[in-house]
Amino acid sequence: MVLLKVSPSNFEILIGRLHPLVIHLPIGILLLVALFEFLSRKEKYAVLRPAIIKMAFWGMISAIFSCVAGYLLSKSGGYEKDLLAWHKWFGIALAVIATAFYIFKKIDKEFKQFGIISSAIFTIMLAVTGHLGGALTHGEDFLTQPLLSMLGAAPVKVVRKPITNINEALVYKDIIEPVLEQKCVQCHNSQKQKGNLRMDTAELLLKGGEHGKIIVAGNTNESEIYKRLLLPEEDEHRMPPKGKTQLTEQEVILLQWWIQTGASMDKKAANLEKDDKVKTILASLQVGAGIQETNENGKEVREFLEEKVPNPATKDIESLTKMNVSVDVLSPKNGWVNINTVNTSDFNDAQIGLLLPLKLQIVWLNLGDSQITGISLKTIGELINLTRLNLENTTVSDAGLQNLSKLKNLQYLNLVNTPITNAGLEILKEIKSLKKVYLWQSKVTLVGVEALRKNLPNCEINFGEELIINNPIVTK
Amino acid sequence: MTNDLQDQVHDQMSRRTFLTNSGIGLGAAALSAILPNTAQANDSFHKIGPHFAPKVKRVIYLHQSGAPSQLETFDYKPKLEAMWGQNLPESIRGGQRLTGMSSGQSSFPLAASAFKFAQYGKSRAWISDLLPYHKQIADELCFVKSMHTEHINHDPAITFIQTGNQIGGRPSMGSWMSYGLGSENKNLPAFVVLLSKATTNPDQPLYAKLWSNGFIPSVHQGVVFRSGQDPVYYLNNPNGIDKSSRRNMLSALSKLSEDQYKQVLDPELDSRMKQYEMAYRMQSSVPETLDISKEPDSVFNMYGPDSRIPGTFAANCLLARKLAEKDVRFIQLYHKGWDHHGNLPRDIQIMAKSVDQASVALIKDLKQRGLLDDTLVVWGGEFGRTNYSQGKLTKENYGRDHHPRCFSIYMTGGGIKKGISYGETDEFGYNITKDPVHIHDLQATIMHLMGIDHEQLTFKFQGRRYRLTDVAGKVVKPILT
Repeated sequence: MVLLKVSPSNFEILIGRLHPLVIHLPIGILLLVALFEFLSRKEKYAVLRPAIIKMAFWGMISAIFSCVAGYLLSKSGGYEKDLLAWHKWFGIALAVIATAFYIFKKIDKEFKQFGIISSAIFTIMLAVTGHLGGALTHGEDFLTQPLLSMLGAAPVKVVRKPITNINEALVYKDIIEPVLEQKCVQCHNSQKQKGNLRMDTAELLLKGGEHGKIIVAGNTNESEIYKRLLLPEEDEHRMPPKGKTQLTEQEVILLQWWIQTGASMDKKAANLEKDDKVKTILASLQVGAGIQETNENGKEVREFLEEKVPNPATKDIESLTKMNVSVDVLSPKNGWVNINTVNTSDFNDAQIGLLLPLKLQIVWLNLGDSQITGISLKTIGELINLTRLNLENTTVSDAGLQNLSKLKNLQYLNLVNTPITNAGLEILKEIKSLKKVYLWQSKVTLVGVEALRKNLPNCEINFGEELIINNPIVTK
Repeated sequence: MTNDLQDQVHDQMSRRTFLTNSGIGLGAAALSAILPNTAQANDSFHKIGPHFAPKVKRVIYLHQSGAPSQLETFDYKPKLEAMWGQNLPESIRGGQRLTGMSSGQSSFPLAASAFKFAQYGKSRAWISDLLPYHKQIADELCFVKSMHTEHINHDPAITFIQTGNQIGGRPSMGSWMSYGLGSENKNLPAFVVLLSKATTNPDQPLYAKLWSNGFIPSVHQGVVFRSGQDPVYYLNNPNGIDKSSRRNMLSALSKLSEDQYKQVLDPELDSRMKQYEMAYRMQSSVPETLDISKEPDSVFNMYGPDSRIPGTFAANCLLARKLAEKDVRFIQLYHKGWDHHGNLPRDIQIMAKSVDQASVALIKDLKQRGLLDDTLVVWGGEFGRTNYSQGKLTKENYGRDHHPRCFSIYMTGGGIKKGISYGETDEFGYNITKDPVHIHDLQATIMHLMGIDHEQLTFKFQGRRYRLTDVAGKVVKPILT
């Protein structure tokens, strides 16, 4: 046989692609043949005997056709060689046995036990061939992986850590590889190598496939991988092919960015040049994305903590709502909670302890106009993820403020109309995370405020001094 | 949406429920879970969002009904001075449809602003002499000069900006917010409407459809707080009825409603009982909230002398701050009288005077109380005004017709960039040349700041899911922090 690489004609491709469909015919028919053969040994089911030969005929035909179709399919390539060979020979052997079975039945040679033995053999072969075929299409661990996990013995699947700081993220490992893994590797891996291409490791990805390299560093226009992403979905060269999960617009932009900047395997996101579009997409990859603020330097500042906090327990929420304290979950994707005592003006130090079970979740706490005093600040100091705290119109005093220095995320503090004095501001100096402090109608003086402004240069301190009078700017 | 009203009704009407209810009444236990009893009514306002962490908790919308002229306030066009009295070039108008009020004019003479413009603050924002107080807070504001709408007359345009559709019947923006976010304050409605007395030509009416709940449950409709003795009609007990007999009456009524609910399964019954209970709580919360007698003189001085007169825009601005302090979700003010087809230089001064000091005072007051960080304030009308004069143009007098192609609004508060101006119009102030913002975009942006994805908040009605932004709307990201 001359080994010539001839690409199959469209008709051949069609027949080949029918293989996954038609193989179910011999499976079904031959299993029924085996069942009938077994049953009809009893006189009670003798009536089945004439059917066996008819079914054996169609079993043979469909098995042979499956072999032909399977062979044509294998010509389109991309399958793991060893596995394919086993599947092919088992399949052919199965067709041969089915044919032999039919012929022996036809000429009515009545060997003792022949029928039952041969039908047992092709049942086993059906199982083996079918399994090999499944392994070819879905991957070798298709069945074993969940099976092993059920037994608790599965190799742990690589779990990617969520990106907490996008600037430190490795562009290939943390950003590009997950995309390829989700959208490409299914057909380009150790078992299935469509176009002789493997994308499951960085080296093999750079090596390319039957058409050569797919990535030309720094040149997306020459990079086959990118060109194919942009082809219309109807195009037969389009990747991922029509019907498979496509890359999102953002993923395409990221891939283009990665290739254009040199397709590096080890650089960090911070070290590559990026335009605004890429910046926005990158920012959205970070956990807790969607709530960033940008300061003057264009550096992103996030209001809430990066890690996910567990969702609050219903009973903890209910213990508060029972007392008419409003509890709002701020984001369904995270457990952040906003607490407001606007409905309970008598909320006091005795009840503050009810907040403790939610100490991780509370980010906004509004105790304005309530009866709490400095004593409550001890408990509030435990709410480590707090970003906004309203204490206006309460009697919290300097003494308790010390507790707030434990709040490393506190950005907004409202002390309007409280007996806070300059002594209290000394403590606030230590809370470097503060961005807004409101002190109107408190007991502080301008001197104290100026000193605090020096210590917290990035914090807007509102003392109400320029706002009390509302006079227009007079124009000449 | 899983808790879609119709699905809910459908579930309740399922064969099994129907049979148990009409049979031996075993479904009563299940029903009491659906129809909250009075003890549960406090937190039974169902809510859907937020979809993501919000920037602000509440909105104060200062709607300037009648459409203030952008050319006399924030959108400075020196070209109009240079070309004063000349005809509006056809190339600029581009055959645009005009209202019947000026379409018959033989010429369209360009009119420049009668008020001087200058730049203020570090942001160098253009503000005219018409609004002297606004000059102080130029750096607090985010001007959007490229607003545009689809409607050329007041009623459809206001309905459009309020409900996302030019024909009434859809839920108002505040109703959507109430439906999506519920209310932190259980003693006041989530959506409060304050109507100001008109200062000049009050010929443009405002209809209740503007704050209607449309087809979403009526518990989300806007509640008008009037000025004077009786802020909410029929809220107080009539003579001879005291608090405890009112309570007994409501409890008995609630039982009757529950019984009726078992027969007819109409969710509006639930809504109605919630409103009765809300009204009961409002009997004490409303007088308390609206009481401005304890405000110090310095506050009245800040908002201006009008703020002592109930029902003025200034007094309503003060009330808006008080409602914001009480965490009312959506506070909608309307101020009529900006429709200056003629005598614009004279009339617009009266209007500007009635809003300038109070609007600025509100923003400053919110700021000094630390409320501006979680409040969004929006100030603007329903469309703009033409750059040509309607009627005769003289140096002293002119008028301006309706103009949907561009107008200016401003916003401030949490999550909004301050001291910026977004969008540009051409030198004639007629067409938008950069970054247009459609009404639906504005609505999407407001919802975004409140933590709502405008594409996700829907309500199924007559076989279709509706949203505030219909099938359009894009969040204006560049103005967000």
